[in-house]
Amino acid sequence: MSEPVLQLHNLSVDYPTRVGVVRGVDNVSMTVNRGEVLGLVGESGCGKSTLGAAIMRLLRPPGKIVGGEIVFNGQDLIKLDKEAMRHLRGAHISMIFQDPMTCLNPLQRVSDHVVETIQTHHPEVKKEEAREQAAKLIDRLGIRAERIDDYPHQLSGGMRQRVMIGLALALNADLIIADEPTTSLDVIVEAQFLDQLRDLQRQFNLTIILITHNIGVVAELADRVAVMYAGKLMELADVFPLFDDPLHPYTRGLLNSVPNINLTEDNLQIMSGSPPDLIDPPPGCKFHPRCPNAMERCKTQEPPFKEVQPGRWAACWLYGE
Amino acid sequence: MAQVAEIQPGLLARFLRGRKWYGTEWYMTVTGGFIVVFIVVLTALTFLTPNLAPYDPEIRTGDPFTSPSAEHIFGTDQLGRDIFSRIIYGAQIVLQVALLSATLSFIVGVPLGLVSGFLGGKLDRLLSLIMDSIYAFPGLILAIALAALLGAGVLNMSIAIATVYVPTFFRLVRGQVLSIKEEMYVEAARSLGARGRTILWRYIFPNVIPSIVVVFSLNIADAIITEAGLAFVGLGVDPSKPDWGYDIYRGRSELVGGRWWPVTFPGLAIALVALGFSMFGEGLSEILNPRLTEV
Repeated sequence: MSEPVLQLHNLSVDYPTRVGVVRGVDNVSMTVNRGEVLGLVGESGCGKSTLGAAIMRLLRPPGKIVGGEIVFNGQDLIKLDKEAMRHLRGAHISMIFQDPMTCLNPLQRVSDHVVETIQTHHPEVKKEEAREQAAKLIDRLGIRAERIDDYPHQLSGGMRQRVMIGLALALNADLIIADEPTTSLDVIVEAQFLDQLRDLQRQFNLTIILITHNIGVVAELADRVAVMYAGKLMELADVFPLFDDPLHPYTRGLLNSVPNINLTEDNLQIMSGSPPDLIDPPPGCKFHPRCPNAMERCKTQEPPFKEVQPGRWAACWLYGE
Repeated sequence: MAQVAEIQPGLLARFLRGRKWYGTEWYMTVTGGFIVVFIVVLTALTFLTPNLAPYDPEIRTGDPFTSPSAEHIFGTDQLGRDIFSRIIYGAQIVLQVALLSATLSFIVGVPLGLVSGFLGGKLDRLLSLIMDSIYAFPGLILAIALAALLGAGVLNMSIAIATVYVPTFFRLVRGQVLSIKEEMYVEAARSLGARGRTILWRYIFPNVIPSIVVVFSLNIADAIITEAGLAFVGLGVDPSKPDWGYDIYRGRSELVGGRWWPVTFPGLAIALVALGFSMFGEGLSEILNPRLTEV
């Protein structure tokens, strides 16, 4: 069933700063298969958004990809020139951003946005045709087609987010990177949005990388979950096994610290400490200073990220060599 | 003339009253419709000049130094020319120069600012250095030096003044581009594969326009004063042509003899028109940036 759309091999991203180099993404390897939703979770600053931006090759300066491969549909994106990469963006890989309120040009109508996106990649499409496509698209997203000539300020947050999805879907991208798509929506709109995303995903067999710090969103939508900490992948597994039986102590801590109506006060645990300073990360496993299961070896040697059970990867010495 | 000035504001004020524009009630802004009217009247003046001016401004039409009277409402100058007519004709030159120079600095400053801010790097540093050097120079002195170099005439004066104001546009646009470049919608456009030039012309430029329009108007006000300064030191147009700055220069020695009108009226004209344009700019900025509006 699984045809890989995107494969990351040992991808690393550095941010050189005045006080030292921050490794935002450290040696990340993973595969995203066609038609799956991969949830990428972690705390603020763990590198999940950086990873998303690196795949698009839209890192903010001074961020730089310093190693590894990003293999998308069989070609290494790092080797592509800028123009080829630009053609890929929007047509084959699209992105949905966090804040729909600011993601649309306030001076362009909805139709202009869609038409522009279509014509950027298919200059042969006439404006009228593109407009028709745009109207169909937003209609399918539950916005009445006659609102296509509205300006962004005339739309609600949820509608703008749907327009953003529409833009991402306009050209049937093979991969959609959704960077915290629901963070700025309230829970009701968020729920509607997630339902809709799920429907669209099934309908078009979309491949989505869902970047979020919200475990609930991941549980709702993801097929597989990757957990990131301090720039590294800690655990990667199907969503149900991961929630039922997290392998990595960090995942366990993360799940235990999510408030839940079934939990008694005693069961809600907090994870002590805070994420490490990435300019001067701890030696060995980066999680060891906060890890309840830390062993001597964790302080010096970094555990490899490997398949510890079928379909389950983890970077932890608890699971042997 | 007097009739026009009285009737127009009333009509316009009535027209504007209660009308809302971007949530701002125009008549509420101090800078309101009167200023717009003033500029409209002035522009009309420059086009209708031959019909409005009672006399030929370049020939003797009365005794020298006639004080303001019914025949010469602003009096006459030392050659017996009608000051009122000279002011009306002088408006033409001052407005030509002001508009031309503001347009020239717009044409040069805005594209440079856009490219500089957008591309950044060495080009940006070089352009910023040049622009800051011009900016650091006292404006009038630079204009005088350039005008002296280029010689008299409407076009040369405009070029001299335009050079002084290019950095104003450049710095404004560059700064705006730097901040708009970081907006999410620009990043979103990039993530959809938009070309650099599409981003610059369709995402960044339109969002800079409101500020440019405001500065354009303020620049006209500045240019009017600079033009008067140039004319005052004799770098304006042909001396026989009516020019407010030059008329002040010639009238200033008469002040001692109690003959106040040759200098007062051109001076008032300069002050009012410059004030008009700068208030117009302020008003525009209140309308275009509604967040700054007092409600």
